[in-house]
Amino acid sequence: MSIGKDDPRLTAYALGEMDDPADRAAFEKEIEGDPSARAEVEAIRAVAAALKGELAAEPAPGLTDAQRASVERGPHRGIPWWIVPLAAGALVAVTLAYNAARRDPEAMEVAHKERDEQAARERTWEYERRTLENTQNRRHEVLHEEPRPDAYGKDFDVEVDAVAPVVELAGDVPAGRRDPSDPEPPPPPSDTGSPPLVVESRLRVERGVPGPVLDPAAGVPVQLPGRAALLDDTASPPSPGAEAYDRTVDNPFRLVAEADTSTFSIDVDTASYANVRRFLLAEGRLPPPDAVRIEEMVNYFDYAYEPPSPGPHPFAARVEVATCPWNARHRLARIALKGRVFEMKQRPPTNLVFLLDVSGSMRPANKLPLVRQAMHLLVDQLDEGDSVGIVVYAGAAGLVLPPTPADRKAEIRAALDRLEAGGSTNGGQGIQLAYDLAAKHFIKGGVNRVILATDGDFNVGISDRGSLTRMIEEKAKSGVFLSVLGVGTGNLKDAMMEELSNKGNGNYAYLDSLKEAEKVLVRQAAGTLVTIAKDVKIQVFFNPRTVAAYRLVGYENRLLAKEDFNDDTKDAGEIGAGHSVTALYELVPAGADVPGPRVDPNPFVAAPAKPAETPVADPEALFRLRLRYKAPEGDTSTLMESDVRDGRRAFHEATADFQWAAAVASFGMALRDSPHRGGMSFPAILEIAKGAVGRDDDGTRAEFLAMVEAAQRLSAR
Amino acid sequence: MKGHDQDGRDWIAEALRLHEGPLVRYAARITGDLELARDIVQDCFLRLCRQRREELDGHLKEWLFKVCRNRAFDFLRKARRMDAGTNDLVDLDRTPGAGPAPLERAEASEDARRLLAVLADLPERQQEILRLKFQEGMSYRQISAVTGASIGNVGVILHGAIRTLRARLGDGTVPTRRQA
Repeated sequence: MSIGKDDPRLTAYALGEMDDPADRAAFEKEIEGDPSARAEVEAIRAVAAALKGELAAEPAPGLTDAQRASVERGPHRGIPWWIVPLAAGALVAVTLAYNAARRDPEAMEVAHKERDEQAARERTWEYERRTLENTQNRRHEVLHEEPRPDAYGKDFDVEVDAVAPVVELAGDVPAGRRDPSDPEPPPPPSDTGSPPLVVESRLRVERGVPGPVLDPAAGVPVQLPGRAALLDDTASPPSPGAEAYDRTVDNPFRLVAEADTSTFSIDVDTASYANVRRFLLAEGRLPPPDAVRIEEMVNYFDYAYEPPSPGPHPFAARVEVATCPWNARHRLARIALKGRVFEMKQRPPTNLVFLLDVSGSMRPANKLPLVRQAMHLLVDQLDEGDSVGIVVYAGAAGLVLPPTPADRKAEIRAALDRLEAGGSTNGGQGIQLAYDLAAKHFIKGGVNRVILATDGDFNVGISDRGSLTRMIEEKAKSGVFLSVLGVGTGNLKDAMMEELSNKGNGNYAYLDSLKEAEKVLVRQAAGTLVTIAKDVKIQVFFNPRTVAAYRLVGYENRLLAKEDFNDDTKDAGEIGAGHSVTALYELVPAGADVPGPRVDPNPFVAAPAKPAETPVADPEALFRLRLRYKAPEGDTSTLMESDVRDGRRAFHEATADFQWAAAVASFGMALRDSPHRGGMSFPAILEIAKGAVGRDDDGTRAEFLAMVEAAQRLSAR
Repeated sequence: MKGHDQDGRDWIAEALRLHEGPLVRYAARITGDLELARDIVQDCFLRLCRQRREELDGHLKEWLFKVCRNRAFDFLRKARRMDAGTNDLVDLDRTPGAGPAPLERAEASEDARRLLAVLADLPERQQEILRLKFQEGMSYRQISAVTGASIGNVGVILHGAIRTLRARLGDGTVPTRRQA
């Protein structure tokens, strides 16, 4: 009986795989008298040796150093693996760009500019590096703040502290402020033939925004072309390679006698702050005034507002009133909303579709690479039950990753890492595809959100703003929410992105750094992803007995008609889990002078707005605060309202958060060169802010101080 | 506590030292994409960091290769599904699995080239098991644990693969030479 050559025992024996000694002995006995079987064994061993030798020589490249380092740190320890190679890549790219510019003999002018930009980039680099270190140090800390003992008030409280006499301490009023009785310089004329869209050139120096500039000495609008206008004749109409901001005119004082109601939509966006920071700290120049949206700067910060107590309302609303720091005769009222806090763990199942712009303009390190890092950060926090899909758009829109369970992170990561920028942008098609995908995988009662990351430079397909926003508005009705992450410099279409997020039941953040991505997508992930109330509107009825005039600070592009408040078809802003929203009103008390020009009374009409003899509301109140909101999936709104009195606090008696918000608003007004900025110089702002820093767990407040200092230096030049 | 932590780190470092390269090579064979393979392997090790060491003692290697294999095939399945189901959607380039295998050697002797060429013609399943056996030095039992094939089946596949190899190397391209 001989052993067939098909007998796998031959190979097993040849390779020493016969573990059982009895089997082996029996097999050895069998082949002893079978030379052909023994030859087979030898032949198998020969092939095996050849294979071993050849295969052992095949390279085994292993992980990248950064990947290995990340493993050695273990999961969730230190910075994620993909940061290091990218950061290193950015540095190399900077150096190469610089050398390339030096070699080009035809572009001395350009090279000169490149060097300046290089310096700016190096600052960016240094800033990024520090940011990374901070991020690393902070990664394991508990990221939500304990309520501070000085958090003011209960749910929907009004100021009722012991009536203190109205004593204005000198400390409240920074030296050198303008006498409020002086006429304010007129605001820059809004119509001087320049287009409403102010285009900022990449070549501009200083605050070289083409268009009317207010000469502080003369108090008269003068045309100040600056170097930018000389170098760049494409300032109008908008050209590629230019950042675009909508013109914003600060809200004026309104007389309560003429307009006793103020209505606006809340706004939790923070994009403007991050963008301003990019100008001041990374690029070392003052931001164009229209890039500064004061409400977004104020809302950038975490405030120790207490979340709502368990009850019917998803957020708490509180009001605090104190002396206005930039005009001691005025009062400043702060309306503070705080959304119910969700831990990421308690969050409902999440269906996310990333819609990523991979057009050619996204190639720089601060765009697609940053977006990729940001998306990795977000993916890190998702798990089973969540899903992620990825759609890209460039020349054509494409599906990169169908919705994939979020515990399959390697696939999601791999898909992200394969993205490359190239082509021109057809945003419309991508938006369509992303929403279709999100709708197809809609999780009822869960989080359904499209996350759009772009520099906003839509230039193919539906690219006119009207059609795009109409499309988003339509898509938002499907219950899919939108987050817009703006990136990049040079051709940032800020206004477009803000509008998209507003129409799309969304929020808008500008990512100037990985640190910012970490704030938006890690620490405030629940707020970014989970909407707890939508179409949140604020309406204030002023009491003519106590208030002569008022001015809403910021929110210029969020104003609503008073009829819109009760109109549930009118869209407004959303509040995310744990979000805080702050709005400031500067109030001119009854009897005080109202700044600004007067409107003559209409001779056909009796003097308007006489106080009611017996008001239904609290006659001593400053105003009645009213809020409307809808549940995230609801269609009808809920009303909250309460009358608010003045506690007659001096500014220094206000809570630290109040002082901080006031300092940030002042800073915004100073950067905008607002006609209402009063006497607040940068040093005065800095002084207030320094006294109100409080707990600064994430370092954002320290960073604000650095921004004020930078602005002071830059404006002194 | 700290000592324990340090032990854990040493364990991971040792696992990296021993298996990182082979795992990436293995995953790259399956996916045809080195970068993807790296991500998969990194993910394997990150999963390893969350495992209890006691539970893996004695079969760490199999565990790593098995996790790696599952992730790689998951990815391939998904990629193929995408190819099949993306009618109106434009596929991006760099579909995983496409393109040349990333691990070609620069120079090899004539014999070695022939051996590798014949190896490359074998069915994927045979190639995989040959590699696990002769490249990674795994036993039948380990290969069984990684691939899910029974130990007997591993033996049969391996035996068949070696016979085919020998036949093709022995006389050019004639597949088999049956024993009378």
